[in-house]
Amino acid sequence: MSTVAIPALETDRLILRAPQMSDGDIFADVLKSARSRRVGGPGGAWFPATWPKPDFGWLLYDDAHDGQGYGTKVMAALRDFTWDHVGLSTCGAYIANDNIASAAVATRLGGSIDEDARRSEKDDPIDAWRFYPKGKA
Amino acid sequence: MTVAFHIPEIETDRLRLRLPKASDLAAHIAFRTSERSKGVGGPFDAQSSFQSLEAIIGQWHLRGYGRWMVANKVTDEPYGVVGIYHPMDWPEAEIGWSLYEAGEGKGIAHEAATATREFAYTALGWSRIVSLIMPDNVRSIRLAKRMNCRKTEAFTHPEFGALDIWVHATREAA
Repeated sequence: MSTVAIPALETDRLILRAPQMSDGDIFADVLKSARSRRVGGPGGAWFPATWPKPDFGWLLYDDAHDGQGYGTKVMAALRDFTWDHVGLSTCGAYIANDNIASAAVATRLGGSIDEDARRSEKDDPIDAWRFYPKGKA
Repeated sequence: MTVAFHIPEIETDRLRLRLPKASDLAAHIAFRTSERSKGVGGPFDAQSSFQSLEAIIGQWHLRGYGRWMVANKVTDEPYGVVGIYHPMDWPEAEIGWSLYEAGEGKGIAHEAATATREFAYTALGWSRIVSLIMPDNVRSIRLAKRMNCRKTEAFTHPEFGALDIWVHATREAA
């Protein structure tokens, strides 16, 4: 028997929890919609084996959720969790350079664009953002 | 509030059906990028293999049942993925098997699929389980026949096309 444990994080208004079956329909709808055109998945620290480093990712489901600070709130909780509990000393985020909303979230999280990051192509329209714990940048 | 879910381990004569782990990735990529994965909709790009392993683990949480990495009981060498597969766009839960090259020709799929069927009937208490097989997947059809499955209607998947539904022998008949 193996046990897999997924922690939950709470903010003032939100809970970040393991996905569950009842999330399936809306998630499928979002993946089919234009909202998902820039992303591969929902929020969290994601580190596929083929990626250079761990990465923050976020995806809000609905236009109705935009502009309420959810993205920043959630990612601030996740950022602190990443430093304090996962123990990472840095994390990245890949953001299309015309994705102004996500760039604003990244700025509020204290991130900056890493001009030296490896790019898949010379004119790659994706900016590599980098985050460090406070005082370690 | 932490969500914890449990993945049972099953041991057979030669095999351990266990949670996939990072060291299985190379064998999983080799399978998915090769012609061997044709019977399950492949070949796929290497990039998708990580998500495939994630999904194998995640279905245990979403459904309460799922697939295992089938490994050599002694050496832990991964031989393939076998267990109960049930994505959202499937007509019902099925016993699925994907064998890596290292697991070829030794009756490993049969041993692991038989253990899975027993798990479905006893641990889960089910009375019916099927396998969905592409009509030209000769090797899987051979295994289905060896397990006394009976071909019934076809299911048409929007991406994979026609899949035959093979109903497994009941617990009493198995």
